[in-house]
Amino acid sequence: MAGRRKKEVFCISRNLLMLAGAGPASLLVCVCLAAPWLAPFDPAAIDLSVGLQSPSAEYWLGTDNLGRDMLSRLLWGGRVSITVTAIVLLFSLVAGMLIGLICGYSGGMAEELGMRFTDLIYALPGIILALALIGALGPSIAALVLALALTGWVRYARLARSLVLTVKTSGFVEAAWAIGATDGHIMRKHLLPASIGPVAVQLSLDAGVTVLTIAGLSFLGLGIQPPTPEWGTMLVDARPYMDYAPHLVLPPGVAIFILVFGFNVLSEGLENLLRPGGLRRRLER
Amino acid sequence: MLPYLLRRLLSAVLIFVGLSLLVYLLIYLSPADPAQVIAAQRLGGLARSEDIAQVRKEYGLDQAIPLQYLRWLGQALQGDFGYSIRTDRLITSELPSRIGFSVLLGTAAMALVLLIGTALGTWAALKPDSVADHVIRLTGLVWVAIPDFWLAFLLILIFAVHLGLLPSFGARSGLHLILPAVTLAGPQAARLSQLVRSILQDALRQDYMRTAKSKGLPPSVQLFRHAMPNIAVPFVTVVAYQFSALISGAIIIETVFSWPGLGTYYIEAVSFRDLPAIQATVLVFGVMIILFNLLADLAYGLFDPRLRPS
Repeated sequence: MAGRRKKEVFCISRNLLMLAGAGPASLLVCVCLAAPWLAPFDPAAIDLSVGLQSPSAEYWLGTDNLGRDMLSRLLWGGRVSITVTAIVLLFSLVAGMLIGLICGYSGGMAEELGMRFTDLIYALPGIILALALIGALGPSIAALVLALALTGWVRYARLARSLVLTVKTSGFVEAAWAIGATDGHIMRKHLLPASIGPVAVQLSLDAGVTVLTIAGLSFLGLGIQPPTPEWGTMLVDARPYMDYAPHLVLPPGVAIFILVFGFNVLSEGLENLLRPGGLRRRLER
Repeated sequence: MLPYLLRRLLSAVLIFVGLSLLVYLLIYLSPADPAQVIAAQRLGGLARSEDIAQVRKEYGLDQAIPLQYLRWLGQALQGDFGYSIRTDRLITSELPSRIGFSVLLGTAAMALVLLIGTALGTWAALKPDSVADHVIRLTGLVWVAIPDFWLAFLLILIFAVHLGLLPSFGARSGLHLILPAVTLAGPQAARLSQLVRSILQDALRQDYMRTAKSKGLPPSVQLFRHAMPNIAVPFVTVVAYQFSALISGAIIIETVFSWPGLGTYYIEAVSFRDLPAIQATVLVFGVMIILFNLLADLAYGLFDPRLRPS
């Protein structure tokens, strides 16, 4: 009984953690996407007479060295990061799932080749290949999206193929085949429902990684280019003033942290929920 | 075990060949004509079309792509990557010191990861649901989400600017190693502690642990002779993965701390769009990771009796 009680407390605290992570993150996403309506100032408006001001009633997060409002830059910067992340994830998801499905279904030589290529891309950390592509194409938002999508589809291709293989060999699909179900029917009725869970877990994990990578690349000057406000570039801009203007250093880092932490916890929570038997079995064990 | 190792070796060679092909094809992704870039670099922007044709012939860029690739690969295997467009020096002469600094930083970070990650993970696993366990778990979750370049800033702000204890950039003394190594190791140590905690907890629940306990073995023997060897295989898998995570982390961290390693070199090359240097660096990164994975495969062979020769 005591053990069960402990498990319950454990599960509830787990869900509280998921809420504590995903709540602020989704709020931040909404607020950033609404930047055009919420931001108090033009994020690019330079006014040297109010440079490097500490947070005040007028400038909630203070101003940077060029007198630009930090709150507005934070919101607009988030909007850019989130949009780019969404585009990258969409590309990776669609391309990866298609390639994985085709490989898993066709089998034989095509599968072998496709999967060896996937292994190849998978062998190196994504950021190394992404940087090489950016070096070849020259830094721009388009190059950033292309580089991240070209390295990001691999995980979905692997996921889709392994799902196809599991579904293909399961008894209920063999039964469906035996009574004459078409490929389309099997995909819709068996493959799709089985893939939603794992895909959601992977997507939310990748969302965190992608936000972090975009900020990192922009920080290096190789991602989103100024004058477009972005969290990573805001940090670089803050570097010369960081010892006497910490208000420039804290907000972008905290914002990145909230998003990445939220997506990580969400993905972990989803994974726990979606495990066979889910929450209930964990409670009863 | 031998056929197993041969299989791994073959797949490593295949990955290397595939990688080198991808890396070579980079020059065809670039909107600029490589011959034109090299000629402009050499002649200070006054390249005429005959100069460009001359360069194209010299670098073999007028041949068919498969031939060009084989020629480039042959030279690369002998350590000849050509001249850097950025510095106009032989890339081979620039790489060794960069690699040395990166290996130094990487070794220090890896030692920290193994030490801290294993110690904290074991502690948490031995005392499940204790305060220490929850603190270690939560710290791990939080630390993994902190952007490392931001953490680097905060550490510089605290330890270099305000306390004046540690230098914030360069590589002139052992002290210079501390901040970058700690920043680099942090998230990976957190990750490793989570993993050690979960696999060790699983191992401790197994029947052989109950047997060991009922034989009256001292706790340290139970832990080191019975539990630890059984988690070796997943442990090696994660450490091998973390090696490549450290390499990709080092690219940003080296730049923040101006550590003169391969990561900084790579960023300089990418910023300058110095394709020969980019190709060389990616290949070196790739070889490092492939070699480390081979080492991991060898370790599996040692730890997993099923792969040993009968």
